[in-house]
Amino acid sequence: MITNSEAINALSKATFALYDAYGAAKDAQKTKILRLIHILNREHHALLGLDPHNEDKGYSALTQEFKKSTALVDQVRQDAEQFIRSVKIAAAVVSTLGEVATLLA
Amino acid sequence: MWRILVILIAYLLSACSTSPTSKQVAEFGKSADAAVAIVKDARSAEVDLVRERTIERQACGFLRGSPIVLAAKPDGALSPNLGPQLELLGAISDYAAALSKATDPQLMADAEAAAGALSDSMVAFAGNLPSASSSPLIGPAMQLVSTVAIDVIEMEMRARLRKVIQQTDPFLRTATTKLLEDLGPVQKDIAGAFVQWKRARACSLEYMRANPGTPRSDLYASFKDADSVARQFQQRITVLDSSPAVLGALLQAHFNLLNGDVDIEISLQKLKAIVKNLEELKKALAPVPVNS
Repeated sequence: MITNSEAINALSKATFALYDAYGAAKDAQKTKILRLIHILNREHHALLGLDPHNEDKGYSALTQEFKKSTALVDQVRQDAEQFIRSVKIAAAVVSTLGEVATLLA
Repeated sequence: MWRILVILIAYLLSACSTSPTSKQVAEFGKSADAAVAIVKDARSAEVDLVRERTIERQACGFLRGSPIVLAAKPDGALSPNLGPQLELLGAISDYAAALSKATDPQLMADAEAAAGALSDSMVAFAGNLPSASSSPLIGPAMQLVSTVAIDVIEMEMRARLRKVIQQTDPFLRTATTKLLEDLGPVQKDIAGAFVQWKRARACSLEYMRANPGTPRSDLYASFKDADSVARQFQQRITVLDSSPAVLGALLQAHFNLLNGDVDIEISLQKLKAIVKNLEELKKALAPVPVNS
């Protein structure tokens, strides 16, 4: 029995090999290779618990998915930048408090 | 107790130093750019070939006495516009650029510098308090807390990125498969148009060679010119033929983001910094020898 992660790794390696084979294949073989890639993509979706019909998404829907992913990645970066800003402000506040304490001492 | 602490922190560090590394993200970005370049040229190569083929056909007809037709309309249908494909690839490129910014090592360096400044300010502040009897402890403790806090933040950030990459991977598979499917017929059309262009050009060359009045130097120059143009088209077609490999590389580069190796060097650097902080803290906690 293999784990889901191992299955995804094996499936991915098979997919990459099919992409390599596609370039050198003849027309009839290309059709078969594409069919196999579609099958592997559906299995990949199923292993991740996603709807296998995602594989039928059109260009517009796929473009939207990438835009969503970009927004999520940007959010992670913005949160990190916000954290840095907050720490810098805190450092400035503590430093000022230190100066005040020195004056008062 | 100290050993357990070091092991725990080492475990945290190894987790936060795994994928995606900035190098892996750069690889993915390069693959995305290559795919965009190929699809862009697929359309323009076909437009160029069909136009040149039409001109060659008209030129050969002219040499053979057919009616003169200048600026003739392209005499063949073009493959469908690749607009939606380019829009999708543009979105993939933007996603790669966003990942590149989010994994920029400078971002974490800035966070470390900010945390260092905060711990220095707190140490200085504590030093100014009149009741700071435990001040030798404050410095190392603050440094340790800030180092570990930054690592935890980095780990959380990487975990969030990893989740996005994981969610995006299936869509990238669907996208590259669709592109592979749609580029196939375009490649075929381009290869066909190239054969026809060569035939039309050969028609003119044959006519010139058969005409005894054509100077040998003109024949030579015409052949050289035709060969040079053919080589340029051939080169573009070779690049287009590499599209399955480029799309496969794009897919693999993205998948590698999920399976990155532990960055040993970064882990060791951080571990050394934490061990140093712990040693200083240990020293500060050690009882001060009383002079008898």
